[in-house]
Amino acid sequence: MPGIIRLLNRAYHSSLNSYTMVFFSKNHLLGLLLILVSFIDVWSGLAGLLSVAVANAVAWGLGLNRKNILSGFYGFNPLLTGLGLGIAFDPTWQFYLFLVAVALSTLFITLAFEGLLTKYGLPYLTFPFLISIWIAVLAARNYASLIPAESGIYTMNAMYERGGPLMVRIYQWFGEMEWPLFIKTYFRSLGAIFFQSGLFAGILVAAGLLISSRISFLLSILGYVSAWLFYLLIGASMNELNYSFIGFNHILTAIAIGGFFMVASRWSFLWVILVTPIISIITGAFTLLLEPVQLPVYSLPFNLMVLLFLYAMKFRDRMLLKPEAVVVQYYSPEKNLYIGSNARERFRGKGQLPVSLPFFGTWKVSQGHNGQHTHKEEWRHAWDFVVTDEQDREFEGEGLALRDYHCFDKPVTAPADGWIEEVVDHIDDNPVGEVNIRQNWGNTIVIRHSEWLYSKLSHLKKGSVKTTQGSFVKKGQVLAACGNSGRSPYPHLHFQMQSTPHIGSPTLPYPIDQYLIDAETPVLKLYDFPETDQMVGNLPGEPALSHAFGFKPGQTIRASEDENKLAEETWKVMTDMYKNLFIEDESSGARAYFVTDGRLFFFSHFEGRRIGMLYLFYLAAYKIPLTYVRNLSIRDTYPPSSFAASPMLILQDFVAPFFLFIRPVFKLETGKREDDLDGSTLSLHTSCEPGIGIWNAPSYRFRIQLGRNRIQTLEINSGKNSFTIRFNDYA
Amino acid sequence: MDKNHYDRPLITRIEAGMPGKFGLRSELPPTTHIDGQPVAELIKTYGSPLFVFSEQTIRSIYRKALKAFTTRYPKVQFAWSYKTNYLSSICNIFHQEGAWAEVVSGFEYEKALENGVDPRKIIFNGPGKTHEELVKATENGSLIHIDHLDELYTLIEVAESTERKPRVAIRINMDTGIYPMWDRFGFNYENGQAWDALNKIMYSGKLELMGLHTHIGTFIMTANAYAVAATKMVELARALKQKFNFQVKYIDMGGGFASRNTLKGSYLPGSDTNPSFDEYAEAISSALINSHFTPDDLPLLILETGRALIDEAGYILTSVIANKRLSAGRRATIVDAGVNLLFTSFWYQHQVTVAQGVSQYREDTTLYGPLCMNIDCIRESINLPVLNPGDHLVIHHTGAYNVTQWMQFITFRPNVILIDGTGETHLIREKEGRESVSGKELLPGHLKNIRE
Repeated sequence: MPGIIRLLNRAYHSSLNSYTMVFFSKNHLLGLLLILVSFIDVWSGLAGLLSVAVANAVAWGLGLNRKNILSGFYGFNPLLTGLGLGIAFDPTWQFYLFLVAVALSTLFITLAFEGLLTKYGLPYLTFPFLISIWIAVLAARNYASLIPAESGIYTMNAMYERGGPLMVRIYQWFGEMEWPLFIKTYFRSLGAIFFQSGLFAGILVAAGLLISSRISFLLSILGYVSAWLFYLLIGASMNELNYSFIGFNHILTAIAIGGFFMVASRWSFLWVILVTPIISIITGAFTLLLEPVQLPVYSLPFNLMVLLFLYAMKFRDRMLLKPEAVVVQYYSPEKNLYIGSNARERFRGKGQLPVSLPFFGTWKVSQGHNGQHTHKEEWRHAWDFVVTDEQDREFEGEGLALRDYHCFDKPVTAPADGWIEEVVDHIDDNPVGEVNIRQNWGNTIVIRHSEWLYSKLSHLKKGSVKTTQGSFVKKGQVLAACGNSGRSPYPHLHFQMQSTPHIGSPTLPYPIDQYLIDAETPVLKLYDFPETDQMVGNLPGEPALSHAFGFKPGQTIRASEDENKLAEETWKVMTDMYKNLFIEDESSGARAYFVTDGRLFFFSHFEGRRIGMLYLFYLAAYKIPLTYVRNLSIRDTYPPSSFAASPMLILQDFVAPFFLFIRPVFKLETGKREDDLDGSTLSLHTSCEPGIGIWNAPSYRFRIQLGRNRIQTLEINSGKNSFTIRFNDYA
Repeated sequence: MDKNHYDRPLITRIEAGMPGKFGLRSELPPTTHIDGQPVAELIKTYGSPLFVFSEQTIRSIYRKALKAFTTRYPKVQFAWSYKTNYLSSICNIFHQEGAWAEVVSGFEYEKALENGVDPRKIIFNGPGKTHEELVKATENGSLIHIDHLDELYTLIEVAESTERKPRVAIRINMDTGIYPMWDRFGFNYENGQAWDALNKIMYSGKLELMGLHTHIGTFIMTANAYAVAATKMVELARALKQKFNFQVKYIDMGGGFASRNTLKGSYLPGSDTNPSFDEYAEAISSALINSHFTPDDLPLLILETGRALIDEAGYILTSVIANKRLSAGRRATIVDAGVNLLFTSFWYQHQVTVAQGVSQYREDTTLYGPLCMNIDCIRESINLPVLNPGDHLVIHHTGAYNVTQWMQFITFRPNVILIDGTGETHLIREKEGRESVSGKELLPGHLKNIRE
């Protein structure tokens, strides 16, 4: 009965994630522990679970986004509401009627907040729970049939009633323990998140937190300790009144801004400390405000603080890394940190329109950004290019005639596809040494590549423009010839990117997608800025590579190992709703996510079993430039989370916000290429050095053999073992 | 201290002030050194006459030519024309620079393989390929340029017996507006032969069409001819695309670029009148770029330039054997390098300079070679300083064709040396001896003894 299994599977995922989402996680072990904690008070736990089930079922039936439901996004607020009500009222049938209605209203309020806050790129956190439980608690006072529970008052009675003498004994043991108040209060604060006041609950939650994320655990302590110290300094005690009940606000805020919404770093840790007094102030103020209506503040301070902080961070112009906002959410502070830490470097071209150099062959940058002559202030992000000969001279003979200059009359091409926005083609070329300041830019073409992205080519030769305003031009199409018009004493090509369509618009810092610096050892640059005096040229893609790594959704690849040491795998190239591309191993469900822009292929991360051929392929082809440069060597680092857990890795997790000592290195070297008109044959030598600490993963040497426009074999050598994986049936 | 050069007495008419029919008298400075090496020393070490090649010049001209094209067109490939100069050292300099090989005979094909050229980067041209050569080229995956229909039929036959499909292009001849029009090689464009041959190839299904090739002639003095040729090639490519949805991988524009040499009968020196690489490149790449091809599918442009790449890098060093006066009183000088070594003197007025400092006096001279043959004349009329037997002369721009078309007539071929980038000299072809001329002779028994 696959139908029922699928239903149960969905119910399991959506419910479990509803529990873990309270701690911004998707760790199932944590989820099971949290369920256990919620059932310390059976009726409360039941009310929570029922509330989640109702909300998720209705959400499914209403046709809300399934991924959101399965991720628990619609379940965690009803869960908290259910738990809260379950602990407050006796389990009568009238209560359950009430509970279902409240669960429904929590779902609706969740949707309202989602609509309201998502526009601003902000999370709705537990606001829906707050509103919902306040309304419910107030409303319940009108209903005579709802009886306030006594468990809060006669704790022992309730314990005996629900768990028998054993339960009472456990409870007493924890109660009598001579632990320092400081530690007891920490666990109580954690337990309070699930409306449990016992120590036992808190210890379970802490254990779950530690298992799911070391950084979150560390942050929970940081948030708690800084709150304790603040209360101490300000002259209040966290243990008094019901501060332990609201202590969790500090803990949740710490996890949220310390590692979940921001990449964990010393900056995010600093902010956790800095916002502590604010949380306390909010708590104090709202406790008083809500007192007349006898409502607790619950998680209001946490919600307000996180929202304020995240919103404020969006206004930053600079210091974007201190702390850095998480762009791709992996629901784990470790992953956010490890995958995010080199993402800035790895994904620098992501989302950018590839812009090439606007000429054929190799030219010299005679003036780069912030140049010494004219590239200053608003116009500082521009380039001037010339052609030089072997003696580094720009001209032949005496250089008195324009024709003597190597770049003069050379074709100028479109840097990217676009529409011709503006053309000037009538200004005379200056004699060598003279400048025309009145018509500063000379003959110029402005191309619109997209809204807010234009390129401008200036000082073109008079009458050389081959295109007209409004026409569409393709990347690499010849548009005009290099000349000497405008403010140009000798022939050169001026090139700049800008965000407005005018001749004379300020420049925009926008990188060149891929170019080769022609030097003793050529250097491949990706999404970078050519600098003054560099010899640069566009680099043609290597079709053998771009075909081989041009995985298309729908493709099936069979990977087999020559000596059958590894089981055959069938890989499917797939894409999800967000257009993320990945290769999935059919049998294990492991996924290797990849990104390619036609210039570079790289794996972004790996999910699933870290054994098998797909995992090895992920390590081997971690970053592949789709172009051939002889003796090219490339380095990159894998996120430490690419490897199976080890003691050192756990230690690394703890200190990761401050420093990374595990840096698994990926290296690539291009092998020999035999190019041919019918497609080249070449090999890539890559290696994976997990480095210190990951002793359970060997260092690998890989050789990827390409031919006939596809990957032929992947040879793997891990010291002890060597395999050859064959790639079959991929078309 | 060296003894001063002896200048024999000389009577010349004073022609002060006014330029003559040939402009002002040109006085070229003596060429005492080549790439820093003293000419006299080279002759002393390697003998006279002597062929000298400059590696530095070869590389620098190659790079200049390549740059002229690569700054105008995205995909450019040179193929070194073996027939222009197939000394292995010379070929390998070009191969090191990245050039493929263009060969026109089985011998040249073998030579290219021996030089280590990837067989898939050998272009096999020429009208006279044998069946065996075609089989070998096919199996090696070389690019075979078909010259005539009979070769096409042979290749279809070959294709039936080989595992690989022959990779072919056809050679096309056409009217590019210049005289003479070369129509003996390949298929004609205007009368439809070329299109016909392409159809035969496409319909046969036995051959893998790779590209189109033309070679419009040699020493072409106008770049525009190439623009016309390229346009016609593009037309054929477009027709293939339209009819067969077939994209040619390359367009080979052949060779024929003029070098800096001056043709006989020219009014002005070749270095002033012959088009530069830039002009040829502009003509060809504009024609290709302004065609139906989109930037992404522009075909590879192959150039088989020979002469223009090597001519300037070659010198012949020679020595004066004797001076004499002809019947009409004209001065003549006999040197030890003749048309046997300087085949190109039949169509060029080679520049000749003296190799040592001399007086300001010059005399109109005829330069003869050492052969006992009336046609052995290097320059009919040249202004040279007075020379004594044993003086050295340098003949310029002799790199193309001379070491492949040189004649073995009554004497041996001399040493050929290469001066590398650091100024060091290398003997790259040893002078011949009696063995190299008569070694292969066989003497029937009854002719062995000529005395009773």
